[in-house]
Amino acid sequence: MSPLLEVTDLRVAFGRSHREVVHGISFALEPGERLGLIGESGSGKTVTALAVMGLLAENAYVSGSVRVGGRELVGLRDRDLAPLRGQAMSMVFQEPMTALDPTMPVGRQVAEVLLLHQHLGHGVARGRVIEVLAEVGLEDPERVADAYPHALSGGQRQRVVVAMALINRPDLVICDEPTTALDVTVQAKVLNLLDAELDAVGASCLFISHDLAVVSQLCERVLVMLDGDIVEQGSLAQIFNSATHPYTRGLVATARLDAVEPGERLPTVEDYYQRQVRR
Amino acid sequence: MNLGRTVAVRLLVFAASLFVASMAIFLVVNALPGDVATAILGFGADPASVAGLRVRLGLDRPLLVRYLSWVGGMASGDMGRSYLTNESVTALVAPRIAVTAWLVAFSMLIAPLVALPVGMVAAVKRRSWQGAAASTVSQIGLSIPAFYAGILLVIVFAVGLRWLPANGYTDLVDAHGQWRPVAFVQHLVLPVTSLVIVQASVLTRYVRSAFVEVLSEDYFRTARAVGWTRWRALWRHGVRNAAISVVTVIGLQLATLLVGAIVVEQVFRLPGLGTALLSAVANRDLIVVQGIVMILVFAVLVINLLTDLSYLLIDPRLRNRDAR
Repeated sequence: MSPLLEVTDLRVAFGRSHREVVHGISFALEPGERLGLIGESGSGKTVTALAVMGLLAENAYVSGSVRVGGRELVGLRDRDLAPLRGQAMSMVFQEPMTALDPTMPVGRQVAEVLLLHQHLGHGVARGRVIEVLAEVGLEDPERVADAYPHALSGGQRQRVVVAMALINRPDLVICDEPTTALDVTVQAKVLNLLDAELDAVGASCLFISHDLAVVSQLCERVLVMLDGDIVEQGSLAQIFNSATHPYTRGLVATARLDAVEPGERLPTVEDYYQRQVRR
Repeated sequence: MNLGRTVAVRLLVFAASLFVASMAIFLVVNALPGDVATAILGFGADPASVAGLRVRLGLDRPLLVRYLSWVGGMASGDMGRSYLTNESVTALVAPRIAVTAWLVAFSMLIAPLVALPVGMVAAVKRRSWQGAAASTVSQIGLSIPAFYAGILLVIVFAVGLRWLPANGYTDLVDAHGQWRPVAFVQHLVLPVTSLVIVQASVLTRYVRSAFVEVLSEDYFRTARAVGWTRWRALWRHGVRNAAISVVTVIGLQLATLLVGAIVVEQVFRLPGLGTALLSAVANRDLIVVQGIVMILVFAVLVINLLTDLSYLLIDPRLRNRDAR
């Protein structure tokens, strides 16, 4: 079976000086697979995700290859790429508080995603929106649909964003730190929701996080990104048990707080990996 | 705060501003040096006849009494009588309101229609030559005074090309009840254009910065992520959000626009409030000056009230403030 998402030698640089922040990474994602992309902030995770979606700012230079369902996306014009977004691939963002248009009821924002890609009557769309809002665990979906984002909590908003990402049953869902901005109990609920919904839709997922513990709940395989390079990849078991890169070993140690004796100092990544000062 | 209370508070502020403004206008105009009676009779006039005229014009009454009778008259549509011609100020001013209103209304409507597309291009294409061109044009437009733009327009389109009349005004409906839309528009094209050049340029800069902000907003990225192209996402989710700050500026610009209209009326010899105001000032016909300034202030306050209320339509967060 050919991979759903195939990234080959992806390089991203910004600005007039062409400062490169992603240095030729390659990876593939099989249909139905969930792949974690882990790394600290500034390591190039989000830039990679936005490059796949074609959502980078205009001053970004992308080279290499990104294929989704066999179709090359690098170099496509915005108007050719836009129809794929929300339909073949979609994205759940980090900040639910700001990800929705504050001047539009959320139901209309969800309906838009539906109407943009499918020719449905408004009445039918409304019914489908209510259905999906109920599926993502929002109580009283009718009321939520008519509410503006400011009237909803962070968790509710993130559920709306998840509904928007999944309503067209895309093949690929990219989740960029979808639970980082939520408090811990809501975080667990949203992770469970994503887990169930991804299964229900049968979508592949590229799940970005700085937290190995979160990734391990959802993904079977993990890529570790550091300073714009993928330094390690493998199954969860391989990463947890036989990581070779010191940075990965540091991540594993910080994710396994159960292994820390009471009274002992908590481990940090720096205990395992010190960045060489580059000149 | 619910909607009804918000509207009530805004109306209260409007009424209070109107009161304060009328006080201020009356006091400033009456504190101006120069006496109407002296102006009418000439500087060599004998003091007794000056004093007599002051009594006839009612200028000998205490300030407060004069203020109250002026405000009371205004409320019932009687703005007093000109000191010079004894003509009713209401009769003098009423037909002129329409001229100035047309001039200002067209400028206010057309300026955003020009500024919106130019500002959007300036924002979206800010890293390429199209954006730089849009910004440069608005910078140039901004630095040309309206009267100068008016003179240039007259030289090119009226004197040179003879496409449009250089000055004057035609009512939409003339004295015989005949509709004259073509002549009406022809006479307004150049004055409106000279006002729009400045207004649209100022507005373009605000539209640009509002959209530059939208471009970096998360909801804009979300809109693109669900399948809108950059331009359609801007149109669908950007315009309304950008409108909040742009509408504020349109409201604030009205005062500048009125000042511009006064000057432009002079350049194009339009029989509006501006020309009447300038001649009344020159003649020290204070009661006319007061009346016209009060009308202008009233217009500014009404537009600002409408601006305030339009926020409630544009931004749902303001409709129900304590809901988070």
